[in-house]
Amino acid sequence: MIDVQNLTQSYGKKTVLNQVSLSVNENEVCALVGRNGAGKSTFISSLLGLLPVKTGTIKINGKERSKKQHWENEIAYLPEKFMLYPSLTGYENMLFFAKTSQKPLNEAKMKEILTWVRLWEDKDAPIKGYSKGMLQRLGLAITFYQDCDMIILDEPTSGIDPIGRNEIHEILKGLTNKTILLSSHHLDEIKQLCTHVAYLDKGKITKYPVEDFIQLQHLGGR
Amino acid sequence: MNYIWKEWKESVRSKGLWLSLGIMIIVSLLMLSRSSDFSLDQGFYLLLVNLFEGLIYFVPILCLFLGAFSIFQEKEQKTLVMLLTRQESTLSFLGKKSLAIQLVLLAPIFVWFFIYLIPLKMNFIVDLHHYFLFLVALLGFILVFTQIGVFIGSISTSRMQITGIAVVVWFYFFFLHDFILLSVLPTITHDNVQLFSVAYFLNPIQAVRMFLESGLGLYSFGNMSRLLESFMWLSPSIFFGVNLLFWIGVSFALAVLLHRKEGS
Repeated sequence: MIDVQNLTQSYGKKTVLNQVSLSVNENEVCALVGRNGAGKSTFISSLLGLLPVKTGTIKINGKERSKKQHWENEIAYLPEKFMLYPSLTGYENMLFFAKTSQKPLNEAKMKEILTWVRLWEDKDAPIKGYSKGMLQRLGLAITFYQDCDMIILDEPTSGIDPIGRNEIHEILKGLTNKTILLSSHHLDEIKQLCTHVAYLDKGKITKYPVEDFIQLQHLGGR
Repeated sequence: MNYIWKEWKESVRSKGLWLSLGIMIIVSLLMLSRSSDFSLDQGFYLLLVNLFEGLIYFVPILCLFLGAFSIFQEKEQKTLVMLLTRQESTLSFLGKKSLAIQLVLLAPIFVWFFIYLIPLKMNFIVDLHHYFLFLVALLGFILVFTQIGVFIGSISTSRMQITGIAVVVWFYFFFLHDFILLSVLPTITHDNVQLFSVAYFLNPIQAVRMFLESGLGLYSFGNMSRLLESFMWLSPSIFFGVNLLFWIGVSFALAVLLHRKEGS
């Protein structure tokens, strides 16, 4: 469970997040929505410990952020517009990240995940030849290998064609017993995948059940 | 080991390493062809000194760029952020990455200069001890500038920044440092010559040059004036060793302290 209370983040005099609170409960799939520059990346960076938190508290599964070493085993993160190592093959990329973990290497699990994201056939090709969709699926495979209960995905379908997007949606729908925070601009994606929406605007977050958010959209409220 | 394996695979499949090694091979072969007229016994030393003087100008800028871009690519490709949200801290990432870059760069150069011994043996009387000193000087020099490159890559947020800072660093060590010291030369007395010597040998180029040239026996420290004796208050190898440790340590510490995660 992710529990953020009164988080404030500023860049110079500009306050990006103002006393923001958000709880994402176990097995929820929560979309983080907001205009460009609303502070989604700042919020995610704060969650991940990439930005220092001066005001407010962040708890992951009840643990405060000072115990960072525990977090890394609990949150898996896939950034937006990542490129990985273009001259390495898909398998080599996954192997490198798998070996950064303190857990023993499990090649059977790697095979299983690569097959699931439909990259096993292309695993020995350098990823500079991969399409955007394939690269994104590889990123997801690397993230899933971490086997964390919580996953943060930053715009996982950004810049991907509709077919590629559908493939990613199918993969994400196949995830069970995971708490997911997913930053997205696509309403259809949110509708398909999410149970809740956290709407970030003017430094504040409001959380809705997904149906309510969609209805508000239709009424022109958001 | 994981980082070294990854760095090696990336480097052998990209141009940077081969381009740098290619330039070194061409320069060393050209120097050898130009030295074939030298005498059998003295030619070896002349070649080593000329070769070192030839390499000393472009090796630093190559190492600065290789070190800096290697770190910057991790930011650009977002792999740095992925690693930092896993088991890595900035300190452990930069430590492993520095070690990997250094090993991947030094290993092929070492192998080349090992192979280079064959044509050297065919043309000159080779003194292996002196050749070893030459290799230590060259590899030490590469270590220092690659680590400064890592620092530049760590603090930079764009490729333009890297280019600018690397050129400034190169210009400083090649020209500005000496100009600054020349400007204070008239004020040097017996009382402050040690301080001057520390500043002088803080420049890796001067420290490594003195180490190599004294090691090859080009300088004699037998009949020095008192002022020069005070100037050389440590042996050239100690100056070189301290310089190596100083720059590697300071560059690494600053790379960790001033690290910027973002990179466009």
